[in-house]
Amino acid sequence: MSKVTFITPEGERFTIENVDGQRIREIALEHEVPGIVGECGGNCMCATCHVYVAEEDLPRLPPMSAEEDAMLDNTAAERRPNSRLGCQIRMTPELDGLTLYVPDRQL
Amino acid sequence: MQRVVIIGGGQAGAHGAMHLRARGFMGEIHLVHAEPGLPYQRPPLSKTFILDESPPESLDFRPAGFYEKERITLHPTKAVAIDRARGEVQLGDGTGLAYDALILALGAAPRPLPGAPSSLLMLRTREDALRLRPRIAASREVLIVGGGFIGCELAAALAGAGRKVRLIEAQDEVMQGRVSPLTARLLREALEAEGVEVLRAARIAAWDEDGLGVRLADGRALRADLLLAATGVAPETALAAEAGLAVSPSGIEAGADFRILDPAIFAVGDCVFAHNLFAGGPVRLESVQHATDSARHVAELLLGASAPYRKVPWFWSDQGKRRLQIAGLIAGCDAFRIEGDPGAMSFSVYGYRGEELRCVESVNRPADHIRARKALTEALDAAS
Ligand SMILES: Cc1cc2nc3c(=O)[nH]c(=O)nc-3n(C[C@H](O)[C@H](O)[C@H](O)COP(=O)(O)OP(=O)(O)OC[C@H]3O[C@@H](n4cnc5c(N)ncnc54)[C@H](O)[C@@H]3O)c2cc1C
Ligand code: FES
Repeated sequence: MSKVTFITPEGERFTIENVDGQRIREIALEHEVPGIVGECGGNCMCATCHVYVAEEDLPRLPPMSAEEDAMLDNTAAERRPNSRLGCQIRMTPELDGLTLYVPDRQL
Repeated sequence: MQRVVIIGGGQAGAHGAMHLRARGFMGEIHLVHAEPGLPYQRPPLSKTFILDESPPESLDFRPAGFYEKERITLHPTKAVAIDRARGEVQLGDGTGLAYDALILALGAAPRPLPGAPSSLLMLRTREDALRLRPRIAASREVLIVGGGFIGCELAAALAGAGRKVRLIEAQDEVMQGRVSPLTARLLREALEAEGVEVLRAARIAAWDEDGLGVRLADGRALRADLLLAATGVAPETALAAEAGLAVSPSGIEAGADFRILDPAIFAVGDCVFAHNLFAGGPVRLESVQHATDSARHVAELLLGASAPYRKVPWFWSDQGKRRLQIAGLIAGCDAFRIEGDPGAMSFSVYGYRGEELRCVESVNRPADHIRARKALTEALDAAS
């Protein structure tokens, strides 16, 4: 019964419940969170599903693959230590309450 | 600009519509989408979707509510004609749809194969894949005709799922002309190591009536309990041709900005044959990247932008555990250099035209791929 919160650059909050098993990108698109594009369909090819993870949540995240790491070098908004790709993270009970910041641009 | 009509709700059409709205276009957006369901992505079809149980909607770009909220009107019907004099598209449901700007995002469709039975199974649409699922589930031996990207992806996926797969390729090598000879050979050998029998330079002389077998030019008869043709697509040009627009077998002809002779009409994605700055000439590209970027470029033009289209092509193909990523274009490359460890299926092949780096094919080397995209983009920016 995990939930996830997205915060847009304008400060708008979207909290979505019951998201276990779904990927961050799909959750955002399904619930019309603005600012996630995901043009490659979640295939780790475009970096337009970029999110910043709240600092306090970082230790809970699964490690990133070499593929995600490489693709994060190609984001439109600057890459930061808390950058991740929404299509590469699946929600699990361990991630309950995750907070994500949507970057100001994806293109 | 009051009303933009987009024909074709594929990768290009759907992303063009979304981008127009995202960039603040205030007028009407109409998306003529002939396929069942909402606009969806194709790449998973040949990699995972045919084998798993995921629901059809899992491929949708956006949920239904998105189109309502963004005021993108979906017309679930075919466009049957374009009346350029009146600035109107005729729809299959008998209505007319006036446009101020018209974007043709018609895609491509499997090229008909002379002599093949009408029951021949192909894979382009979600409906095709849904029809295939039970056939694949019930199959033990599969014949795949065509060793292009999709044929190789299917072969790897089906072999991975325990099917005995034979892949029939007319050329001397799989993916010929699409990747370097080195990459093609290494990826083919990987397929063979997984049990796929690859028949090269194998020409089909005749098709069995029931769509389950072929006879090769050398006399061999091959049969299986499932036969799939993945022999390439032809651009959808008929609608444009009937409207008097310039078309050729290569596609709907357009200039560098995807403009065609009629200033109110543009063509994007798989259907267009357009001058391309990176290629240095007209090309037709079949990729998610080109579909999305070309459609976005036209959206920007309609909103008043004037920067030229300057994108480095990229592409990917997942063949079982092997992820091939390509930056640039192979055409014209005359020298190749390999880096990495082909034995461990982790390598990149760098393709050059003279001294100039033109193409990088990476297999399970994502960092090389991103570096290549950046290097090619910088070189293009510096040259133009
Ligand atoms: C199985 C498969 C796997 C693929 N894998 C990859 C991959 O891994 N990587 C990659 O980069 N690319 C891949 N591609 C290619 C990629 O999907 C295409 O390049 C992309 O879909 C092209 O987008 P498009 O919008 O131009 O055309 P399409 O996606 O083909 O969409 C065109 C749409 O227009 C509709 N249409 C045509 N005529 C009319 C009409 N008269 N009225 C109304 N609608 C009409 C069609 O029905 C279709 O829905 C794959 C393609 C397939 C089929
Ligand atoms: S959707 Fe393209 S990288 Fe995540």
